[in-house]
Amino acid sequence: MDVCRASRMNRMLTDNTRALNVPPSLAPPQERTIFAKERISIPGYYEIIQFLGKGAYGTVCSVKFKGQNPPAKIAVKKISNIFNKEILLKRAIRELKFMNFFKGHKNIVNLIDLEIVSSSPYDGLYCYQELIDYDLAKVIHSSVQLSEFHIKYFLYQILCGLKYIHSADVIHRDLKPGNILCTLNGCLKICDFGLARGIHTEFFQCQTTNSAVQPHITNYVATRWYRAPELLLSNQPYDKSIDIWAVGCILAEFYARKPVFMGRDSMHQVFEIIKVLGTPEKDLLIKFGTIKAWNLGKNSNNPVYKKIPWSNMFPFASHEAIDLIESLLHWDSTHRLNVEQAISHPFLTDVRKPDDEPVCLQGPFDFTYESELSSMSKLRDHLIKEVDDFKTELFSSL
Amino acid sequence: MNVGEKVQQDENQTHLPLHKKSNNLFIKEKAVTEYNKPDNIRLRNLNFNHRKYLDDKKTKQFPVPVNFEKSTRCEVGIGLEPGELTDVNLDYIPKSPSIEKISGPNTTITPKNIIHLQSDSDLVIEECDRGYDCGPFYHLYNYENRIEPDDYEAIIEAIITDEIAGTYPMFERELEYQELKGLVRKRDYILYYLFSKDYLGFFQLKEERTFFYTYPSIAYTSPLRYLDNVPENDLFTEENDEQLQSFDFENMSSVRTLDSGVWR
Repeated sequence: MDVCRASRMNRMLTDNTRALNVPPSLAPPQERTIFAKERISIPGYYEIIQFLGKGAYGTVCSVKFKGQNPPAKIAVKKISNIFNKEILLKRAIRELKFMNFFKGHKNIVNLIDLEIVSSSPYDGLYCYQELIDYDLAKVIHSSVQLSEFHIKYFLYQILCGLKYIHSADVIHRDLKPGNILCTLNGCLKICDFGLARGIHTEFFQCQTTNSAVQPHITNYVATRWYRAPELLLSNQPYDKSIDIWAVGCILAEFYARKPVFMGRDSMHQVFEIIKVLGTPEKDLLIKFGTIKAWNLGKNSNNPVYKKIPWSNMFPFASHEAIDLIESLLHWDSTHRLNVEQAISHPFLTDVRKPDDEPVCLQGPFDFTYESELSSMSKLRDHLIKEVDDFKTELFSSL
Repeated sequence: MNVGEKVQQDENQTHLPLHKKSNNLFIKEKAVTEYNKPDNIRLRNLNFNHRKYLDDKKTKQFPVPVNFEKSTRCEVGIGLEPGELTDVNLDYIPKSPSIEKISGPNTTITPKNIIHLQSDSDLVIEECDRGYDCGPFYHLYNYENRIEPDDYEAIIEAIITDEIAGTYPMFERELEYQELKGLVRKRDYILYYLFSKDYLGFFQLKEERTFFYTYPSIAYTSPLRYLDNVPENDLFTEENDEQLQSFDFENMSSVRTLDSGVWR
């Protein structure tokens, strides 16, 4: 089945690839480094250091620029078999767009190069990015002792990255320790923009006039343990505060050394939150506007829980830390701090560098491109164009 | 020339020209005959020099080092007379060397020197044993839908809202379906209906799509699937970190109770 389909699709893909008008100066060099065993072909100025593993939809290896000493390690992921699959193409475009848009910020993972190779058996999309060894989940759940200073420094970096993302009117929607990479010297970088979403109102209006795409945000939601109460109990639109809730969960996890709300399903998740934050107020339940929210109230048969002070749970944490957790993990999204207020919190005063907390100067992220992707060939063309634009920008900056 | 030397010579002469082959064969035969005698086991002169060294070492007498001095650590740390036993301290937790390395000397801590994982990379317990991965497609799992299948109220509300707005959820593989629809030929229909062969995967997709648009409860509650319907060869590692983590933490969650309310 796949062979037949692939051959027909490949024809179409080749045509698309031909459409890519790469200027001779930007064309990839003739010399290429080939790693035949894993079917990887990279430009000749790279040298393969080692094969790192087989990840999702691709093979990853570490490379460096030839002759560079000490070598800056780069991870190359060759992605294949995505060109016939709609949801994978859409995700690839989305992720690359966000990575490209946010590149340059020290707390967001950086894309170094992009390339589409069409010659078999090396064909695929090649993504070059900085090689980062660990993620925050591994660090938190290890035996490494974390002082409060570590926690401040880690949280500050997460908030700096998030400030940059939010300043472009983008919600990450899947913030969790596993999606925050950690370099060997303790630098954190937010990654995985697979569920990220632009929310700038102006672009929604553009889409509505186009009427090709639904004006509301999709209903797909992030990892349950870091999911905000409004996502669990309400069906109304949400905003950047869902990321702030996730940051609050991460901060509490630094102290607990495990996720603080570990629900087995969405209602169990709600009860896990209730056990700690107490039963929410009646006004808020009305605001959520759903029967399942209303059933949690004091009139229902459910037991009423009182809030457990965070200081009881983390007696070793400072007052500032407790206050910040309190301000981030609030039932009501409107009562949560925004990212800038969170950065300014006294808990982070020791580590803060106010001059080095940039916002995205490119303005809000434009997601109107989504309405143009009305066929598979357009999806493929768009991915190729994305790679082309990236290379053009890269070479013009050299 | 003894037999051993001859055989060695023979082994080294395998590259000789063909005209010498008969002679070599003769020597080989002779070697095999000699090999069958118990006194002629050796095929070549083996190097037993290291044995000679060991034999010398065996005969040589080494004095046993005896240290009668008490270490200062023993005096200060334990303060017990030799032979005196005490209860075993089961609560004793040896000091982790990692803690010292991390918290380090009590100097002014700046963000630059706070973590030195480079030299202590072994401190991270969970090594990446499933193979390294990075983005795009760093984490793949099925994203849950905000509306759950049994949340009828939410489904009805969503249907009404969309009805007013004149919209409907789009099948997640709609574009793929449209493309395949253009590619499918009469032959494919015949193969499918006569022999149940769905080479393009079109008919399966069509069925899924029909299902999606027929039942609004599915349309409004279906997750965003990155893992389902994916051949194993395409997807090398199915990573669901939530599932991975739950293995470790579900047991621990019983430790945290409302009574104690404290994480240790």
